[in-house]
Amino acid sequence: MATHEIIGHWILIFLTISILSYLYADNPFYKLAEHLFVGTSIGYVVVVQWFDVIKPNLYDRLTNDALGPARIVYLIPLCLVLFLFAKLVPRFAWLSRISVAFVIGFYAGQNIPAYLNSDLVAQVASTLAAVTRATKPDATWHQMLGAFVLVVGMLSGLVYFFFSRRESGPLNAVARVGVWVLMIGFGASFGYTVQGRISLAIGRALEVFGMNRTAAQAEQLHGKLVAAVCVVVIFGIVAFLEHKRKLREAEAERLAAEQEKRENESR
Amino acid sequence: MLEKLATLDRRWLFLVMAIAIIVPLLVPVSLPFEASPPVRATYDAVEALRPGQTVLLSIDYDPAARPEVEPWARAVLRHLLRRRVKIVMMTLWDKAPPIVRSLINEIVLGEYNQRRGYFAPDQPGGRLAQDYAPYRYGEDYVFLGYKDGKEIVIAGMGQNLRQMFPVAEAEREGGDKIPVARIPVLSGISSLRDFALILEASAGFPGAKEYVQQVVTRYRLRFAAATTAVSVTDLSPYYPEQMLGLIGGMRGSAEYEQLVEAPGLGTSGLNVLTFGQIFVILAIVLGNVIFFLQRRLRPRSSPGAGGGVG
Repeated sequence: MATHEIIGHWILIFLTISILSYLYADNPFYKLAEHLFVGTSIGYVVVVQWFDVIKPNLYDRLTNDALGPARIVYLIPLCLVLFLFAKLVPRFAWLSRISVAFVIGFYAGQNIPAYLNSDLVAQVASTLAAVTRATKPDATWHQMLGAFVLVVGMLSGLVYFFFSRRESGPLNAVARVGVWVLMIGFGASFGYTVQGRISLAIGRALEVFGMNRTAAQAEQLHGKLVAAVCVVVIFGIVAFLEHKRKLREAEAERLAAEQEKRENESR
Repeated sequence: MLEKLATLDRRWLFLVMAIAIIVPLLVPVSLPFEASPPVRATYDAVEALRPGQTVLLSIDYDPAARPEVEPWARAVLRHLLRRRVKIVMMTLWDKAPPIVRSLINEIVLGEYNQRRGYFAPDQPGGRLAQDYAPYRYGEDYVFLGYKDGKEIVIAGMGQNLRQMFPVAEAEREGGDKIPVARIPVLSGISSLRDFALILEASAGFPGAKEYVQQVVTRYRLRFAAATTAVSVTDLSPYYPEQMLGLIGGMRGSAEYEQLVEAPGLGTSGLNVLTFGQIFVILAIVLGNVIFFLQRRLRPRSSPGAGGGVG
């Protein structure tokens, strides 16, 4: 492996441990890594947006003589973009509403039919298809159970959101089933979220230890050793800084108490 | 003791979680697992492709989501190469182009074209590869590049792919872009409807949900996606009527790796994931036990002593 790749990997380890040091306490290593991350992310996005979005879609078209006078039409999106920045000048802030209205109108027109089609019509059709499958003579018991849970869960969940029902009576009992269905759904979401977050931690660990590379490369990187050194140095310094901060706070409290005592005595 | 546990510094939990992740990584344990039906359905859909058919592979994730969906992206790319289908790659995420480049360099050029790693003659890919011949850029695969516009681009591709992507990336990074009319792999492809299968590695917005909403349901496209674990409950209702298959997080990726006989980061991560989840479950149970014990042991206020309602 080239030297710059090895050094790059060590920087990766240092920055990863620096970010994780926030779990212990806020500290200068975390701040350094955070600012570097924000800076490089913004720098990357600005360059990509210019070369892949603004330049080919606007600048190149406005300056392309082959398009003739028709290219003047591209001044409209340019104006809409500039109007958004008018929000910074209170006197012309109203201009930004034109751009915002355009965006909202466009997205509403694009998305409302798409949502209705895929998340309502197609979902009703899917539910009916599941029920149809379950009522066929050759249906298996788990298809029948699945269809039953699907229909009962869906209906009871919908009843829970029927807020004008009475607080007692059969509808309320169905709504309580709906609450259970919703809770199971939230539980599943939480479980998947935990799984996702642990996966990210595993991904960082694999990268830090060089386990996502070949055995020969991992040996050259010395990921485990560098990570151990970084943990000791960073957490050692952070613990020392934290200790000093606590001492300062205790000292300030002691001085404040002495001051209060002197004031009481002087009275 | 109970009070001490209830007010335990949360940093101890972070430390135990770190140990629960690092120890199984350093001392690997192999736990058995099987592919779930949505993962198997995706595998079957790829397996059913005929050599020469064209597939769209949309890589829509950033470096942060790599541990969850990249193992699948690698496994499915190997699977597509093994099936000898034509591959059109693209992305709707601005941070993804370097990821796509690295996938192409490592797997298409480094493994398949060199017959190394998974495609070495004695490895599963080498044994199962159909009509082996090196993949050529533009003729067998192409990277259309990144396009901003999110779901509008997806909707546009449903009508006219070439309008959304008039040019494709050059074979080498930084080279001049190529007009799509000059790319043989795209001959006969004018919209998403012309692909035999659409596959997506999705880490959020725009991703699998937008594909289903904008084009898949409307045009009844054959579509399967790998998503981050957090998106699985959102996308589950679409399977199996609107999505052919669904690969959820690192676990789904590991299952797919198992099916294509290419154990990688998903498989090694899954065993660790199990230990991490066991710790989280234990922490939740312990937290609840402490909570209910404290409530039971708390002295009850005598009637009339308090003015509370409960």
